[in-house]
Amino acid sequence: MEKEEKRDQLTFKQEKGTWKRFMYVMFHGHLPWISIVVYIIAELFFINLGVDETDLTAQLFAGDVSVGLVTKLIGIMVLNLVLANLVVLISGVTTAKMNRNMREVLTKKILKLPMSFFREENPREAIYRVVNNSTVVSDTIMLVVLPIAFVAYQAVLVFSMVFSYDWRLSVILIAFIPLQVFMAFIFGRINFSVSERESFLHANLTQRLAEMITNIPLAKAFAREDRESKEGNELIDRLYKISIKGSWIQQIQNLSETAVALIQAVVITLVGALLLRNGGISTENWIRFFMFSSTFAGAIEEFMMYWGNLKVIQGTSDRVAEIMYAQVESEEGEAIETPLSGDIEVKNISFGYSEEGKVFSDASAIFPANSKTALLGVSGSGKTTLLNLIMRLYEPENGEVSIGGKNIKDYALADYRKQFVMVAQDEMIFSGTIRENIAYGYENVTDEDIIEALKKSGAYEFVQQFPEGLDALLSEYGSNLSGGQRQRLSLARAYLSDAPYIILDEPAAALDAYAVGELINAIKGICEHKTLIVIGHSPCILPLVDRVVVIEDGSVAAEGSVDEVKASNQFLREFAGGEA
Amino acid sequence: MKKEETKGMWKRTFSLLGKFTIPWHLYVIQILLGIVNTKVALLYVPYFSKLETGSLDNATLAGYFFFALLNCMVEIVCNVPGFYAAGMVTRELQKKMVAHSLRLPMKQYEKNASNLVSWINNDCMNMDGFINSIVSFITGIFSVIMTSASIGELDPSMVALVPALIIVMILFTLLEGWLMFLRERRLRRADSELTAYFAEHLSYLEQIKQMHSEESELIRSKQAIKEYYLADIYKSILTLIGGVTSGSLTNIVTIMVFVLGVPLVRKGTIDIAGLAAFQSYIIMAYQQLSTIPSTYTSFMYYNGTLFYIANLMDEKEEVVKREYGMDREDENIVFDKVSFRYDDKPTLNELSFEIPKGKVTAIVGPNGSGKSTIFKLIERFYEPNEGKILFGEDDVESIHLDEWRQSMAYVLQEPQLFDGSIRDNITYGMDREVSDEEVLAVAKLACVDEFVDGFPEGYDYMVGENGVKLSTGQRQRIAIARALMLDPAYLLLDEATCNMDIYSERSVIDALLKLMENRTTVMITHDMRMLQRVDNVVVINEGKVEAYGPKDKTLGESETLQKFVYALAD
Repeated sequence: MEKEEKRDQLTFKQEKGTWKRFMYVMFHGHLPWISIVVYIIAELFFINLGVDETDLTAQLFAGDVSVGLVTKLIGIMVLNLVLANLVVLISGVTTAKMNRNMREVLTKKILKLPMSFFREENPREAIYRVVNNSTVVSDTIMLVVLPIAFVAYQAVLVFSMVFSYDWRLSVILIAFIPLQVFMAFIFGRINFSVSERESFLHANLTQRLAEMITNIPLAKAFAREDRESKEGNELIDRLYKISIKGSWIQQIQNLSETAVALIQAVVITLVGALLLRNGGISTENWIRFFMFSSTFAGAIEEFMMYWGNLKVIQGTSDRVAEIMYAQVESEEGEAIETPLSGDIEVKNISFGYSEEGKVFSDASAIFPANSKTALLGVSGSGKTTLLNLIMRLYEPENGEVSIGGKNIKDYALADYRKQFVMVAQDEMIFSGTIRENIAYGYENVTDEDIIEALKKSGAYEFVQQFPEGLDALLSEYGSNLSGGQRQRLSLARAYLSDAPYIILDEPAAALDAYAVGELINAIKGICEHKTLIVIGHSPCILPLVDRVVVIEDGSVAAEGSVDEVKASNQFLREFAGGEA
Repeated sequence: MKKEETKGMWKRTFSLLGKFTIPWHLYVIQILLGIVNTKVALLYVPYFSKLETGSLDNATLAGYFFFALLNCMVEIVCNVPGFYAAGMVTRELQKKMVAHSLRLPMKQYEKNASNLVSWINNDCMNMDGFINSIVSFITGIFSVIMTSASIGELDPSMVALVPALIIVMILFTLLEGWLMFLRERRLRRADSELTAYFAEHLSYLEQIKQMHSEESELIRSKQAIKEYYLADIYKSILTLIGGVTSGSLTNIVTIMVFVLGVPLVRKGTIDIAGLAAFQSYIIMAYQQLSTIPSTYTSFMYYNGTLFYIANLMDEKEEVVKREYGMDREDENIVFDKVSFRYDDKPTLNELSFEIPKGKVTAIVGPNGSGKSTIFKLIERFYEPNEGKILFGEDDVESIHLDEWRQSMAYVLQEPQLFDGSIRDNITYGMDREVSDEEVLAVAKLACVDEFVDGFPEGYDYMVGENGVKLSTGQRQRIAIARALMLDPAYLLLDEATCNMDIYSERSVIDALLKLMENRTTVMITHDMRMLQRVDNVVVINEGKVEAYGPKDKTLGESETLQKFVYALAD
């Protein structure tokens, strides 16, 4: 199952072309089709009105100042004004709806994705980026795809008008398209290659400057201010040169654009003058043509600009597409009616987060029911990974984990995870009241329950110091609390759970020697009657447990009672060595 | 009160102009070229209008081509002094800021540290914006006057349209500003809600799954998304009310031109080409006018962004040269009733103790008791608020700052590395060329060789920004190698080995113990073996000295120390 899913993700890009991927996102993103249709109609009407306005202005400039014409012209201009704003409103509403729908679809999907989906990158950043990118669909449709269509429509409309006056003039219009495209292409290329390099250099330099500034304390400690200042000046001089170079490139590009426009104007005017003098066209048609030619050139220019944007946006939509295409965690399996109570058995598992890096090659261990086990090993040995496998955040590639003799894969996922309560190293404390934070994930929790939990975890003391008590607001990520305080809050949260298994990941990491003793007592109170697995990197957790499992080099090096393992395992002796 | 604040702000920003070299001549040239540019554009209008109304005689064609070409050229040249000036102003201010930041007292540095990077990298560019808003204002005024004159030449009665335009523009600007304020406030609120939700909740996916709270998260997310959606709709409606889509005003202006101009054509006061010229002039005037309120907004904006830079530049720098140098006999370091506070929070209260020369002294106390602050006072990153730190008989404040700091190596719990090779990081602070053998020798002592041998690039391995490509333990080992390299007279160790795994900690401590022999060493540690080697102890509790002196004596006196040793031994 796991393997199939991985293959899906890997081949997604190969299987489907860019456009197919984009279409997949479009049709699964709940697009607000009605709003889109209304927007298209309004915009097309607006474009037609614009052409009418130009046409009437041309008649005015040809000398027709009759009341009828001027009234009609002003009427159309007012209508145009109203419609312009209406179109903006409709497009705003459509965009808002698209973004809303897309965010909902993505959030729902992400919540159900298996963790293995994010194995290549930090899931936190990945999620954040994806959600930020959720506007990519509206950006593509509203800022690129539809504008391209509208501009194309406008160009065709104008062209057909001009064609109806004089076919020779319309040929000139068409003849300029290749020149415009060519110039845009050439300068686009030059500009791209140069600016790519420039912006890379620029980013590089600013980053070095940034690092220099953050390392000022280091410079001070080593009394190297003068030398750093000199180096800083060199960086700044190079930044200056790059910025001037960038400006010149910009300048040259402007020049090229103006040159194309100028050549076009000269040719059109000369041909126009020739035709007009020969009587080839009427003055009125010349004026119309002159006005429409600039509309037409503008439309072509815009068209190319949007086309360029399309390329940029496609890349960002890939990540969104991948998420939408990925398979969610399966919810099928045997329901759990009464809480599980068996031993957790890990049998011959192998697992790695990426193809190259194997964390486990063949690991086995037992966590007997109602026992308290410490999971030890040097950092990076895979302690947290083992817990993730037990909690089914990932699935082992080979081997299995079972509880009470039954493979954990066979249980319904939601029911299964409810059997565990976990206090992670990096605890989820969010902005909200203390009450909200403690009761998070539970239903029907009374204040009495919360206070009892706070007392058990040793958090009650500091919570009482807030004048608002349980209603005290915690700031983002709980940054107004110390590490130890956050730890205690998450212990209190864990206390409220009636799950039979409890997992603690480095509970003492944030604390000093004095606080550890108190914490250990709190943990003892919370873990009574539960099966405990605790990860630790300091010997202070040993009083909590009756068994240890030591992980070394991708497998279990030793397991058993503390004394047994001490006798056989060098690491545990070293680990506990601090005691002597 | 608020008005006075802004007044002070302007003054401060303007005072910034005197603190570094500004290429004023380039800005003057920019103004002059701007005026030339407007003039050429105005001369171009009549030919264009004739063309637009169908008169294609030779004179018109020639004039049209000539001015169109001239117009393009002037427009291009016009920008050149501008971007040179912008580059130079940014460069000079950045240099000034870097030099100044390096010499700021530590307290000032720490207060501003999180913003300093973006001030130097980004906000310094706003200096040009600030000056430029004044430049654009001057150019804008000149242009409007010149354009009004051209309209007057066409028909004096139509000049009246310009003040009308100004009034309309002011009304629109005010309305737009107000609506924008409403819109931004609402959007910002919804945005922070949405960000808070996604950053704080959804990104903890692992924990959400562990707590099986997917369903309740889904409900919460819908709420946050809906909030944002409503704000988006609100924004669209306000935009509509403002009617400030870019085309709107140009459209209104054109309508005004036709309503007023057509009767004049019928009367024969102006011809059709005049009407077209009138339209072009008015649109030009409108565009020039519309830059003026925006120069004001950008002036205020840049003034605001430069506020912090101006403030920082007002801060005094550290004085490096003092009465004495460090070329003198070794002495004891004595804290004499030293009190220190960060802002209003008292941290250290009348500390008095002695760090004897040539001995190892440990500073012991619970987290947050002010141990690291004592180190920073010894390094003279901070000055005591009250009391003195003495070096023998002399106040340390009378000793050359750089020489003082150069005589000590300071190894931190969170070691600071920079993006360079491992060798660069180890030899940082050395004023001479260092041989590979020397680097290898200290690397071996600090167990750096253990992990460097695993890199194909060896000591040329680039450690990444702040050393991110290494673990904290590895970074600590490099910092210790750096200290060993310096072979300093004084050694300050702040939990120097706390992030290492057991095996390397053991060997690194051996190396440190060797280094500490006969050298004045001050350390904060939780390691029993390091403590055993200590001669003296200073026990700090809640910002006060609980006991100090030889180890055995303090162990008898201080309950905190007993508890600490007991906890470590347990």
